[in-house]
Amino acid sequence: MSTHDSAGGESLTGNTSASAPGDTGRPANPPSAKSPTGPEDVGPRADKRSERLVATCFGVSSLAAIAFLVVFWALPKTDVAYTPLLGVCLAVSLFGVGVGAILWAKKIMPDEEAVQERHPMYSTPEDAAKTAAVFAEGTEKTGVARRRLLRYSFLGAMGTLALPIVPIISDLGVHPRGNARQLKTSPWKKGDRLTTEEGAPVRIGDLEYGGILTVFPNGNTSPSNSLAPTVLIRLRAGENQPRPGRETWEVDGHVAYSAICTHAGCPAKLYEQQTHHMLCPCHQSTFLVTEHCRPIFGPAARPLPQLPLALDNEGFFVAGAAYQEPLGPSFWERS
Amino acid sequence: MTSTAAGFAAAGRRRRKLASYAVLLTALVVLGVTYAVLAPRGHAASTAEESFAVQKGRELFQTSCATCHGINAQGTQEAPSLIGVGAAAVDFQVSSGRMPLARPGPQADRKEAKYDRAQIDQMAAYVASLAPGPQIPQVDLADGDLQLGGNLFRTNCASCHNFAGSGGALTYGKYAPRLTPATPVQVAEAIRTGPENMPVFGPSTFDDHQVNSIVKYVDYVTRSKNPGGLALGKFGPVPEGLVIAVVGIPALLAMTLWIGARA
Amino acid sequence: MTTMTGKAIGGGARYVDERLTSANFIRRSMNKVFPDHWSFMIGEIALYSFIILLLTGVYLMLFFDATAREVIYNGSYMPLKGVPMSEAYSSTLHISFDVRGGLIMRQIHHWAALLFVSSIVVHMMRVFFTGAFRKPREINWLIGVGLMVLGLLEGFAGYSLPDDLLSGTGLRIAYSVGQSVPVVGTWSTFLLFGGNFPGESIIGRLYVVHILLVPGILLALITAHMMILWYQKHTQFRGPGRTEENVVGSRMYPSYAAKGGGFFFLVFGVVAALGGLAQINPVWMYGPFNPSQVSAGAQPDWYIGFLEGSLRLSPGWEIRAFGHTIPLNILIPGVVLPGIMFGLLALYPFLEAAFTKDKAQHHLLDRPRDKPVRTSLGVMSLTFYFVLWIMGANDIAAHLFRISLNLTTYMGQVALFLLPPLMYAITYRICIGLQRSDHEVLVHGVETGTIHRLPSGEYIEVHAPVQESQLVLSPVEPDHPERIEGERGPRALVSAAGRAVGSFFVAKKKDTSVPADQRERDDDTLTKR
Repeated sequence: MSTHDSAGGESLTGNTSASAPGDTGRPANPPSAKSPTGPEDVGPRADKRSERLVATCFGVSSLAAIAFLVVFWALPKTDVAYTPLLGVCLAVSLFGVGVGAILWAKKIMPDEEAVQERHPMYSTPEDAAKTAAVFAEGTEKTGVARRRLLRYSFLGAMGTLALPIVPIISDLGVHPRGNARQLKTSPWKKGDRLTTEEGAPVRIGDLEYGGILTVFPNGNTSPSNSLAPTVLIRLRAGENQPRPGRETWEVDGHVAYSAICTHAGCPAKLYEQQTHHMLCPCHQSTFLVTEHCRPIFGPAARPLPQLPLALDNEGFFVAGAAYQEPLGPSFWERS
Repeated sequence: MTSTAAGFAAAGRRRRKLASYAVLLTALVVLGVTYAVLAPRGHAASTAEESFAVQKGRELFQTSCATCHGINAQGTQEAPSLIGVGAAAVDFQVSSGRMPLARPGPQADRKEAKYDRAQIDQMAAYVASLAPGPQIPQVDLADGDLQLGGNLFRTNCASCHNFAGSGGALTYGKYAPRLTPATPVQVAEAIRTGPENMPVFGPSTFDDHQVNSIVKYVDYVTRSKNPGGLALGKFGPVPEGLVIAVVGIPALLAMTLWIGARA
Repeated sequence: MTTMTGKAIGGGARYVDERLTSANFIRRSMNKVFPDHWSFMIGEIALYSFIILLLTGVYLMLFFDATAREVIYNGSYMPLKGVPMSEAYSSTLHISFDVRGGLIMRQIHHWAALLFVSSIVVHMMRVFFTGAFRKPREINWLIGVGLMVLGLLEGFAGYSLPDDLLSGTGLRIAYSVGQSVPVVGTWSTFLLFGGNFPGESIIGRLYVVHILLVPGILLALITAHMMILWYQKHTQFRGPGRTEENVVGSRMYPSYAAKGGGFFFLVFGVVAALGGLAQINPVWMYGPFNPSQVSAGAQPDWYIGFLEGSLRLSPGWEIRAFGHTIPLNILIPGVVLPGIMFGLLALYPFLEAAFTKDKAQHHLLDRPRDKPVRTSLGVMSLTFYFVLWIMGANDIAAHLFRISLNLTTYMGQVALFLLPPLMYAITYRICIGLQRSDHEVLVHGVETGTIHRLPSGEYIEVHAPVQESQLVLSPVEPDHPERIEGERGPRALVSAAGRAVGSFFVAKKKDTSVPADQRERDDDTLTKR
């Protein structure tokens, strides 16, 4: 800024209209004469009153700051009023300074209205031409226009310098191609037991009619296995209307679906046991459990994938097969 | 396909026709009351050992429930059968004021209970006498484990009732209610019986210790003091954004007006 | 100024000046004139919030540990004692419960973040509706749009750091949005998250983004924004003595410094009061992130709410062909739509200049009513945004007001396309109406409230002609305060408060004071419509 303001262009407009260059720009009036507003504010008494008011603000601020310290140290931090009191003390302390400063400006400083000229927001044609000439002269001296070899080898060097960025960035994650395959792999294998969050396997009879349970493959509740969460639901006999070919995927009214919404990947498990709606709380996709969890409302485009169920010889629920399609939200490589 | 506690109030099915049914309902209530007064009593269970409570309960039932649930609680077009729902379902529905239904809607709203403790116990005894069902759970908060309860709550309850039991919307006008007004026993009853669209969590899904833990956590999270000031309804970022839009920005704009004002 | 302090200041100033030759620059800076209009201080709220964010953020950094490593919580929040969780979440609980004053610092930080983005948006609205973005200020508009987008990013990164259930759900959605981009989506999300969701890396990476990368860029852009502002000087509303060639207002020192400095403390005070009295982001209740858990009403902070809304309103469209899937139900509402919205916002000054063929420099602001097309376009866009924003909270609204959730969605889908054009038409009519009433006053004068009875028996109200002294207070030179007294008569039509409110709310009949040729031009535009 200083370069401009001290440049010649500014001098023809000046700064504040009435202050000559070199002047401090302050009106030379005693404070008492500067009271700006109505008659009741004029005079030394009003001025004194304003001064006391501003000083009171600053005083309140100091007191509040001390109160902050008192609360900070004297109150146990577990007290339910601890944080609110700290907030109030801090706020009062800050308001005191702020209100005081503004009142000072409004009541004690002169209410001036200053005018400042703008400098033109463009350079003179001569200036622009001069600059262009300097640039042209410099470019000419480099010879970049004539020396094609230099030009292209330089551009080539800049281009090849960008190459090292590629492996550096791609090493941020494990190799993407392998991971895309990982997205398509079912976290459940055939024969995996359905276990609760605490790792207990689930058997017939553990769920009442209208019951739902979040289950994991063989006790693997690790957060890294984020596509694995599945819900096991017990429908009443005859309620399920399986897709053709999936008649054997239910066991005695029990059905299992991926809990991960096919829209944006939230756990969609707000199950209404009478309407059999399964709602996702994030974007309100609604799936109909009795009809292979097909989407009936909201942004989801695909049904929740179904996990084929079976019983092992101890009577516990197991996956009858792996999931037959990729779980969770769609992605480019998904067919 | 007999209904259980699960089908306690099939309100959802009725909501469209109900404007016209309101009149019919009134007529039915009158009819039911008349019937209850005039009809010969206790033809279903007139054995000598029928307790006083069951008998009183049946009287109450026939005055105020039978019009919808059927004279023998067998269920009607209007409302599900109560045979086998157990004492827990009756206690939950009547003590939370959801039953008798005030007005038809997507689901029964909580309101002031219409009957006192003794009457509710009598009705519960009557319904429990019809067929075995979940008993009123014995809640023991001291047995509960706060940490276990918190995790169970977040896995099984928070998805509908929100992280702090503030409730949330479900499909087509239904909702998971706020848990603050619910007593610990009512929370346990809801878990066990699955009122309306709520899933059922029976004793082999959650044992008593797990239920006690969930109830203890609900009690904690709905009743504990908030260390950070006003809780803003415990609905997450939405009320926080509203506070900035309605309090923060307007307060600061008012201050700019004051600062900008010429003396 | 006593001679003592004068001497002290003089000595210090000389010391600096003999090293930096700064006297000239400092004097000009102190004499720099700032317009007094209240709406010019909204941007300051954003600046001050940013300073508060830096202060509290540094404090929080000293305690926060941004690692996904699993630990067993052993702090004083009972319901999570002994629960396995990430170090990030555990250290956030530690700040909230076991560091004295830690909770209030967290809450001030979060409230300041909400205020930062809010005030940027309100500031942009002011700049937009008054035409302050026009030549020569397009560059600052672009920087401003960049600041806003970075502000959203910074906020979202910060919201995600505690690794609680709510923010984890948000990250899960962000991951899905990234994944939805054709061809490069899966690759880029794998790179960003270091693998499949949630991975171990994202919290640490977001931390770097949140405390270094974005704040660094924000700081640089804010500096550029302020330097350009300083260099170009403020715009100003029209008024007597106010021209395209000058700025009228208070000087930087002392008046504006005291007011602006005081305002910093007021902003800080509001944020401190909120931080103490209103609980924000109670992560302890959300619980640690777990991909199998979710809470009803899972919402982002307000500034991401419009994206949440657009995702909710989206129909279930998806393209599956040639062995690939394009999830339009995420791609359009989550990537394409915000891209178009921010793109149009950034390009608006250039579009307007192209359509109006206006190549002139502008330092005098428009009143919104005088540019009905721009104003209506702005209201239309804001309506569109507002519908999306409301729909981001439709489940809370449905629950609290007992409306069917599904009905709110249908209403939102209709409103998104119906309301914006409707609001355009309404706004346009209001603007024209206001213009006509202004014109009325100019032509017929001000209603005096005095009723006269004509000899014919007819009653008329006397209209006084508009006098310049009644219209706006005239500017005066700062060195002649006596003229302030002289020109501010009790008859002033525009009260002090009205003057402060300025032409946003009070019709200043400024046109009488502008040169005749200028006035004619304005009248022309009025009569054309």
